Order: sequence, then structure tokens, then C-alpha cells
Amino acid sequence: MATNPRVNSAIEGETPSFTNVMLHKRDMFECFGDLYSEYWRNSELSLEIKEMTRIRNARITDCGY
Amino acid sequence: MVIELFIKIVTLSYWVFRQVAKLSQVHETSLAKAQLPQKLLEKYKKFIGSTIETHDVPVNVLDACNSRIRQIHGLDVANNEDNEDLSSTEKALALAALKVAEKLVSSVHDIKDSDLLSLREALGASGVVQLITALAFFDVECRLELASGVF
Repeated sequence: MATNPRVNSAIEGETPSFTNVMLHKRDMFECFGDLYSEYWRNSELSLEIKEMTRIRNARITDCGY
Repeated sequence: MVIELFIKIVTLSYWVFRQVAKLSQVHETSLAKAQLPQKLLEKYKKFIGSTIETHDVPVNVLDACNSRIRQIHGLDVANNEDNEDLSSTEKALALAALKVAEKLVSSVHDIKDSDLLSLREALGASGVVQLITALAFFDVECRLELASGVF
């Protein structure tokens, strides 16, 4: 498990977070955000099902989200 | 001398183009059968494309990692004979990337700071971010294929 952030923030002076680390690849991250928001807003599954599976997945993976 | 250099550049560019096209084709074939809603499918393809079309991580390193992850999942692997011509630097980079790829599939918490250190030095922060994202989604693609049976 990571003992400290393995990649620095792309924004100078900011504490590394998922968002500002991913900004090292801005184009790729924008594509990811576009896909992820489409999945959450418009897919055929209910929000409840998606949130439930997201939380279960996070717990199994022990990722903290 | 100039002509030789030009031929080398053209040859190398063609090889990189072929490798990227091959990786893209794998995803295109898979996604065509997924029957995702059209808008979601388009955004998925665009995102996956953004993880493999790059100047930050050598395409043959990505290709080797994709093959290894597919092997771990017990899936078919394309012939990688093109990867036999790696330079010693590329081989070292590929080995470091493969080590992370293998752990990412089944023991992600075992990835150590030191596993990423050499990659960060070789690829920079943007390269590491791209590599980790690509590896994670190679794994996702395998799981989709295994779970759905349609890829």
C-alpha cells in the first residue's frame, strides 16, 4: 500500500489528490470525466444500484472511496 | 547519411503507427460486441484511445503489459513478435512496468513506492499517470470480457 503519494500534484503547491494528479494527463482525464459523468447520468442502471456497487467495489478493494 | 536517417525515422514512425493501430484494433473489436448505449460507447472508446495514444509511454511497453494482463486472466494474447527488438533501456522499462501490471491485477496493495520510482524517473509524472491508468483499464477490459462473455 502507498505510504505516501507516489506522484506529485500537477498544480504546484497543492497536496496531491486523485484529481490534481490525474491532471498531469489533462486530455486523458477530460475523456475520463466525460465518460464517468455519462455513466452516472445516463446509463440504464438506477443510481441506487450504481452507488451500491461502487461502495461494495471500494470496500473489497480497500481503496477508501 | 541524411537519407539513412530519414529512412530510419520513417521506419520507426511506421512501426509505432502499427503498434498503436494494433492496440486500438483490439479495443475496437471488443467494444463492437459490447452493445453499450451509443453515447456511452463513443465516450468509452475515446477515453480508452486516450490511454494508449501517447508520446509519454512507449507503445511496445503498453502492448507488453496488455498481453501480460490478458495472460494472467487466461485470455487470448496477440502475437508480440514485434517486441523482440526492444533496446536495453526499453527492456528495463518494460520489466518495471510489467512488475506493476502483474501486481495491479491481483495484489494491488503490494505495489511498493520503489516499484514506481524507476518508472517515474523514466517516464515523468505524466507518463506514470498514463501507464497506471492504461494498466487499470487493460484489467477492466479483461474483466468485462470474462464477465460478459461477449468481448
